Amino acid sequence: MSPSTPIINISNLTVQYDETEHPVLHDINLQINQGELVLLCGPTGSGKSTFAQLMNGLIPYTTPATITGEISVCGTDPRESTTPDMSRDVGLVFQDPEGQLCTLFLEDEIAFGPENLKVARDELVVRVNSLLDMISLQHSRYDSVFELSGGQKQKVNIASVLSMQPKVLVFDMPTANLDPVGSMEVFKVIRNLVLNEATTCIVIENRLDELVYMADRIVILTQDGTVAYDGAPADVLKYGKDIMDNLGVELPQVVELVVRLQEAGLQQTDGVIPLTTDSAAQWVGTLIDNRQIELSGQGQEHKLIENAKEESIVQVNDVHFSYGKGPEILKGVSFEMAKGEMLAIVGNNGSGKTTLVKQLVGLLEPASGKINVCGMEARKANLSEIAARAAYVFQYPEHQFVAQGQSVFDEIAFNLRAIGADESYIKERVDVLIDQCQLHGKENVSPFMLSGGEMRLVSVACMLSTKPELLILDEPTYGQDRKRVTALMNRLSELLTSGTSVIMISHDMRLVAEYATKVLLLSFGNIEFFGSPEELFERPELLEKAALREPPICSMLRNLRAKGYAFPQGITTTSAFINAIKVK
Amino acid sequence: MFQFARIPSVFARYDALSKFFWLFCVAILVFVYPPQFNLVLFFIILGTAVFMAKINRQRITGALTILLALAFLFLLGGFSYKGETPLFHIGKMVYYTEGLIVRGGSAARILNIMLSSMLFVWATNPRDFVNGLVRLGLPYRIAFTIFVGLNYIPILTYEIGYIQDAQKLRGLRRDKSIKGLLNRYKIFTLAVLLRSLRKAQITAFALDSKAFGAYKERTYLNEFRWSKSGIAWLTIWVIIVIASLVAEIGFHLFKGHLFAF
Repeated sequence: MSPSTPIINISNLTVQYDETEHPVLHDINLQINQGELVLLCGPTGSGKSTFAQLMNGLIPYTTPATITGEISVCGTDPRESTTPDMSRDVGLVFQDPEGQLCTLFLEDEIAFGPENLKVARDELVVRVNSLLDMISLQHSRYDSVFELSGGQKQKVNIASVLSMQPKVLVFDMPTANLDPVGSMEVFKVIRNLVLNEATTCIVIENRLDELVYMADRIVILTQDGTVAYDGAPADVLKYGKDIMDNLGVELPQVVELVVRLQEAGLQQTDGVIPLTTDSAAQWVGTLIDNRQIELSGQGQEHKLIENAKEESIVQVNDVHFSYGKGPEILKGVSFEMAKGEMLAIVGNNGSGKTTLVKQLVGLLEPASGKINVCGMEARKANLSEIAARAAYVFQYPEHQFVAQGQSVFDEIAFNLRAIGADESYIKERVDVLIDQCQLHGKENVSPFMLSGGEMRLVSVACMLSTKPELLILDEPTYGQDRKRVTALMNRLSELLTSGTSVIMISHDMRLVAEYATKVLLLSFGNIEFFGSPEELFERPELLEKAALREPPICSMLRNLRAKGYAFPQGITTTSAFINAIKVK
Repeated sequence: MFQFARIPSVFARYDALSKFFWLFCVAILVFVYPPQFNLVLFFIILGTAVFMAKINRQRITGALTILLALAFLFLLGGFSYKGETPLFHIGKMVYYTEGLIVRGGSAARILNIMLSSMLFVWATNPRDFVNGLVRLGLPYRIAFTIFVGLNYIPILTYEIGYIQDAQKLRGLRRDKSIKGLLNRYKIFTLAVLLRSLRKAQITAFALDSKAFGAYKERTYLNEFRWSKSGIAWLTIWVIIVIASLVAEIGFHLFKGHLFAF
């Protein structure tokens, strides 16, 4: 496969929705060749999804917008076609694995597109069989799509688009809802498409670690919807500092390491941008051999651990739980969390993470065992008492909005009004929270009109209004760009210093390594590990068993240690790496 | 509970349309038959579910619980029926034998229609039913709209659970007054509606992106086919319907119960 023939031509393209004041995409010039794998990144609101929907004509076919400039996708101008017509050439895989399912059963889902294109039955059988083999779900062909895991659903979505044999495939944040296993399944399929098929792939993704090394190009959009960078990954990522600091895009961790080393004074990098952990290990090894850096002997030093106190905030003792007469979800879970800690609960989908935290806040009652939260026995305390002291922020913020869309102020004030707080106190408290969560100027806006990241901050502010002792967050970084993630995590870190304890459910191992003081690893209802992130990431066999992925820097260091470089244990972040070396 | 379950059975092998038309046969019979015959019909349908469709005990028990609760409510309505033969009384309220016959008859009819419909849903792949409707001439765009709508049952079930939990934690349960209850339902409905609209928009995008409606006709991986056993089953029931109608209309065998609802 040699990328050569332009399949997408865009010049001076500007897109503006009818109801907005400013264009969402502005003066875009791009040419994408057949067989290329292009990664499209950018902060929230930079127009990535608009770009995706423009590719198969959903804009302007279903979402009216004013489009100026030139655009040709597989020889068709989306303004002069319809999405059903363009779908012959362009497939689009959305973020939500469930919402995009059109039928009830797996084989029907894969056949749905080509059936609509009047593909003959014999050919349908061939396509469905080969795609079921490709996604390794032949054995589940008659199963309900709703019984599949998130990763499997997304693989089915990809197969259902591939069955139409498109020339261009666009993935809009395909792994945002998935656990590490699900993400890997999807990336494996994309990898297969790139290596074995001549399909042009455009992947919109915030997490670049797993994809960057196989991409032909990276295109990075700015907040204003213009193209900031466009080129080969190594050429673009040499501007890593600008991309990270000014555009709010999360860099691959090995590239972040280069930026950190430059910040620490490394002068000569020879323009080398490692894209894999192996190449990063080789590069770091060369730096050590050339005495550009040397080991200082310092290990990981976790900043937040000092907040942890002797007193416990959560005690879980031999908890068992099943839904109805179903299989046991929690099988004798026991642990104790100290006050002032940030505990990350990790594990693959179905491991019992959400079930466990629902028990902590009293939404579910254990079949046996005992839970104490904030000094209350969860079984005996009522829901309101627990909710006031142990606040739970759901994965989708809009689930929790109750002020009937009035305003952000009313939404945050709701809990305080419900407990009969004085209006002057409410005003004072809400103002503080708006300030802390950086929601200035949004006080009078309906929370439903905010971006995903802003909604998340409103939901956190709502749950902080009653000054809980424990804050529990389900996937706090879901669908957010790096800037928002950093803002939220900094806010949570401040909470730790003020004595609030935090539990977060997360699939993001880099986030866990950076912020968590403790990790609880659940696997099929059993606690497989409870300890520091540094200890967890030193146990690859455990990660493999729980189908988790260590942060790339851990893989790089394992590689270096195998080559004889004596890096201390416990380095799981780029900051810790910088602490462990001296730049000469 | 009310979804198709892929269970290999004699009944599941019947084609979807034969089973669908069988529902019409049952619907006619419940209006032809008096209560005691409806009771027999109820056990025939129940037997079909257990032995021919191999529906598991959990579903059958669940369905019977709902149906018997409904039947009880119908029978309770017998108190409002003024008859001539008192059966029993609670305080000043008298329950007449005629009330039992009339309300019991209505209950039996409703139960038969509901049980047969449940059996149809349990044992019929909705895809086959939709494909069958298209075979009968219904435009596929309309038939599939029903089919896509079925996707929302599992999605909405999850969403509703999440929203209920999330709103409980926001303190919505504190106000126990009628006003509080109404307000709670209003807020709940709004949240469910907004989430449903968001999901519906994604599904609409996905349908367009998969060329839905690109042509007036489409092909099918699993084309609808009449099954011989299904047709045989339907034929037996059609004969029973015709015989029952002749017996009632021609000979008043069922003593004028036809359409006495």
